[in-house]
Amino acid sequence: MKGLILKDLYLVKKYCKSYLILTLLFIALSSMNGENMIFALYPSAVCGMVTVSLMSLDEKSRWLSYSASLPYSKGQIVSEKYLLGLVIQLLVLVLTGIAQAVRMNREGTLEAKSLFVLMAVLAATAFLTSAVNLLLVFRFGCERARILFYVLIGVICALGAVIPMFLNGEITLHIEPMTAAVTAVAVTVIGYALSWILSVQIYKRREIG
Amino acid sequence: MSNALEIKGLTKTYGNFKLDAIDLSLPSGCIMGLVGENGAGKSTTVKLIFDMIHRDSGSIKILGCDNKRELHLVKEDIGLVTDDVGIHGCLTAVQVEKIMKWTFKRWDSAEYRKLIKQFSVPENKMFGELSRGMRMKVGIAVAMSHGAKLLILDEATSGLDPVARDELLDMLFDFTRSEENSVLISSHIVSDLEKICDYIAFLHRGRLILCEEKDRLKAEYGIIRCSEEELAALPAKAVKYKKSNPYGVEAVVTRRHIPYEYENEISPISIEELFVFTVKGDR
Repeated sequence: MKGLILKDLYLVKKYCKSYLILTLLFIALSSMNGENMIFALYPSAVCGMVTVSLMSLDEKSRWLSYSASLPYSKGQIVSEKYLLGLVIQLLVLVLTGIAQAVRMNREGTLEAKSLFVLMAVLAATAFLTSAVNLLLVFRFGCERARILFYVLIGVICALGAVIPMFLNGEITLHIEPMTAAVTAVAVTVIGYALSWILSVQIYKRREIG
Repeated sequence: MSNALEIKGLTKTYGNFKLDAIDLSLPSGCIMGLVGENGAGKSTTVKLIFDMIHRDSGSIKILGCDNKRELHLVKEDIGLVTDDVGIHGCLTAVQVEKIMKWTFKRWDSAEYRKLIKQFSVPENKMFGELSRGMRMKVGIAVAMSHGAKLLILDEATSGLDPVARDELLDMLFDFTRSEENSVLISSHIVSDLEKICDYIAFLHRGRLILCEEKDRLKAEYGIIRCSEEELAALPAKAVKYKKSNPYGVEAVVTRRHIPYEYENEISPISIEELFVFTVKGDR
């Protein structure tokens, strides 16, 4: 699998420079500004998309067909993307965590609990974006997956807007931030693992033309 | 002699196209040329060999291993070069070498560098910036640098200039000097295949219409140019295919069925002529 990782690192170096620069810039900005969480969220969301971009490049250059002739199993080809995604996203999370800790410390609000809650939200954003996208990509190919992902986001946003209207304020949920964070971490871990396993199974059955 | 590649009853349907019950055996130490027009099923056959697409029925054995259950055991021993190669446009030949070094257990850096130099491929130019022929050469260098026992080349000579093609053909010829090395090569350029192949297989509209030793084909068949009346005088079983033109008729004949007195009228047939007759000639 080392050859596949090295190949993707060359691609990241070549094509994802702008992602990396923006990520570092936003992480730096998030350490200065606690008002707007977009600076902290953006790097996680973007890094969740790096592996999908790599898959897109693989499809474009017909690497997928070529790699079928190399001594890698389909399981290894899928796992390499998930593994690389995991490393990149963890790295970004650690950097964002440090930046947030610096900000909280400066503002005098540094507390392990609140930092954990924030990191849980960021991890869920990064890993679930990546998990859903990669699953769609391995099942449908990049182009169709991209459209399906936008449709999915649209449906989630629509449900988010419509459901409260129907409930008419009759049901209110009071969840402890810590409970929500632990749940988010659990859902993220299970979601990423499930996506990984399903993608391997799907890709084994997929025809590579 | 064992077979490097053994295909039995291979069938695959794609919409209107059907690869129909292909039977083909490539003995170890030999080169087989797969000839066919566009859409005949050559690339489909190659994809099926690597299990990139799923067959409807049949079986494929590569170096004695079933390609569904045991492909992982022989991938180190196979080299594939397709017409679009499949290497990323941003990679240089040097980077490709580093990737392959981590990919193949028996990777031979010295051999790869020798081939890259021999092919005059610029080492630090990006793959996407190379000409089609140069890209093909990188693919060929990779395929020949990891100790493969079976090379599969799908239209790999089509982007090369005549000199490079000749070089490649020589290399393939050298490669099969070792009895355990074999080559399956598909090409439109039938004259290339004629130069080096031991076996020739004709694919037409998804059907294998002929698979024979090249020398046997050339010894068995000849071409005769005569009038319709003269052709009619020949034994019917001698005439395999014919094509009429304003000046008479051209026909592919089996030499052993031709009466002795006509023997001097028969010209040798090229594989290209035989293929065109097989596909377009009347029976």
